[in-house]
Amino acid sequence: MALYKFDKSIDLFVRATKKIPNGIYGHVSPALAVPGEFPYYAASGKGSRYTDVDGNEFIDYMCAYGPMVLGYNHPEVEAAVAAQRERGNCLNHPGEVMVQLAEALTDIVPFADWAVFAKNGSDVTTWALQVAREHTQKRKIIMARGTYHGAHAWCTPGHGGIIDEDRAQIKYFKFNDIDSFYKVIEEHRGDIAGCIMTPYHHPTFADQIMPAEGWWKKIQKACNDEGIVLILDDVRAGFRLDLRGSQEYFGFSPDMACYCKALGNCYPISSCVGRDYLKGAASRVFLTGSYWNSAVPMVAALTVIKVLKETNGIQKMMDFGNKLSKSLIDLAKSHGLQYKFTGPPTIPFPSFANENNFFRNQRFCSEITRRGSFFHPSHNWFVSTAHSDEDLKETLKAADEAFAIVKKEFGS
Amino acid sequence: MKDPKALSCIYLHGVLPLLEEVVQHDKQAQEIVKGWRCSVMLHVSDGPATTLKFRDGKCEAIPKTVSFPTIAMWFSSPERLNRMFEGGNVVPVIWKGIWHPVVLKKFAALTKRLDYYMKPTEEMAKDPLEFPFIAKLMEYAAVFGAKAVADNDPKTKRDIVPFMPSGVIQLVVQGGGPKAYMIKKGSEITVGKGDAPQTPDVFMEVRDAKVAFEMFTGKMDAMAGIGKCDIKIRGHIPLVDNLNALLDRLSQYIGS
Repeated sequence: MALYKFDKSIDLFVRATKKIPNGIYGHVSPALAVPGEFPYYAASGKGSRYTDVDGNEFIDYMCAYGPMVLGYNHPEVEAAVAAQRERGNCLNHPGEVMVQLAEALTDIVPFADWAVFAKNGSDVTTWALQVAREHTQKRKIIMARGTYHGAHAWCTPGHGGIIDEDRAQIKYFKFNDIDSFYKVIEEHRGDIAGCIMTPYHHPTFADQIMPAEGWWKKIQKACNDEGIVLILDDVRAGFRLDLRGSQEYFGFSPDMACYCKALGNCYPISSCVGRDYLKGAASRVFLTGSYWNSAVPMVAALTVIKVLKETNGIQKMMDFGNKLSKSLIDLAKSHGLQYKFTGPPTIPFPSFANENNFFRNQRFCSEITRRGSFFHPSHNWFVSTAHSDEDLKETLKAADEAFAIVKKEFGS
Repeated sequence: MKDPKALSCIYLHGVLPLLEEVVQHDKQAQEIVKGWRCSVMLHVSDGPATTLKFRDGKCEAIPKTVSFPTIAMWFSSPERLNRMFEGGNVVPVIWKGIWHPVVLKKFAALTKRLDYYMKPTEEMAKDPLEFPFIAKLMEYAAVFGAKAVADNDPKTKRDIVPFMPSGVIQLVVQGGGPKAYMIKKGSEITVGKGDAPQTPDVFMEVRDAKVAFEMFTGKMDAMAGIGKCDIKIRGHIPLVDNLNALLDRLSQYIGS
């Protein structure tokens, strides 16, 4: 199999570093994969595949790091988007679609009585904290240490530009350690406004951790007993585990939930939904942005919900994710390698079981990526409803070669 | 905000020990220490210390006080030591060795040779004999300085070190260039020159001495270097990410 090259990507990146700090910043930085052996810039996408600026085509197992859920340029989404664009996108007032989308979301998410919209996950997670504070008139927010809730100062994983005061009211516990959760409540009793958590723990460069038996029931009970607003950050997992929200997958019920990624199938939109008792507080916390009322992404989101519902899209993704993990684990085993998957089937994190420093994973992912299947070595993957058995077949062919290289280089 | 004690640790444990390399490389420095058989101790009241031992034309830095130094210089506060390193007119209390005026005078000249390499000119940057050496000094200053920051800067101790994963970082300048390592285990950080004594969890490999020189002297965009594969990082990248956070903090102390 001929290996891809990334000359144009690299040239473009060098140009970029002269004008853009870090060239490419944030989670898509080339530094987080294997520089030189991965594409840096994309040119186009269709279905489960995309093409980079060097003309290499990839079966995409990152799905734009989550936003692609139905496939790039999905016909039904694009038709709805084109029609809305014809009518207008960003006008003086929100469109009717804003009301329709709020109705659709509160219809599918069982606990939700209202919805608001923004552009990014950070917009709504940060706003949700303010709503919790406004409602409770308390200051502190508790969260699991090491969880990604966005790029704002209170939660960014970066070190730059942060002052102590940004995080003075954020207190931490350990995911799945109920005693540490109770301890932080004990220490700050009477001053905790909200608890924000992801449905399961999904760090980068580490196995994904599913909630322990009874975890969410205990969290919900403690929050209810203490008057703490329970906020579900479903930005990454939302609409990939259960169409009604990830709380249904894990069997609990938060007070607010934040969505983004899969909601718009690559159109920029995020949402926060909440219970009726928080509507007053929500109405008192100012919320706006230059493009936050634009109609096109709302139409896209409305269509995504419709298509996922009509096509049983979540189950389709679950089935594909299960096939993907089983066949890659089996294939690795046939090479004498120990490959494992953590996290849910639709948002898996594969790695080699006998290492925690990622040398094998980086080699494997760069080899298979250069053979046309985009595998990330340190971030969880995403699957979409566009992934097919044909994609899997092609991927396994490339994986066979890539596993053989890992076996030769590392032995086991 | 800079913590004076942390800065004094950077100077005494990260910068001053570079004299080991300067004495080995620099003809003028070698001339200065010719025939020396003595130890020079610098220490700060309730703070760090470093003793430089000179024997057979070589210099060895020991990051602590010793029992019987030939010359001992005492600084009443970290601020006074820091002012001296920054070129201020500070006279330390020489409580031992005052009767070695020649060595004392020459010691000042020796430290000027270190200054010479730590602030390289454009000509030095073009000199193929000089820039590999400067790159080596910068690499060691970075690694030992990062440890000084991690151990002594209150903000770093609180916000970075506790969340840095355990593991071994190996820095390599390819083509026979210098190597250095950092090991994080629990709350302890150890650093050293050469190959790490344990299997590395992450490698940061710089293509050659020229790239290393440009990277450590801030003449190149490190991200561009990574994108072009002039700098390669393999393995547990969060370790290097945290090392970078330490280096960013170090540059707030002694960056230009």
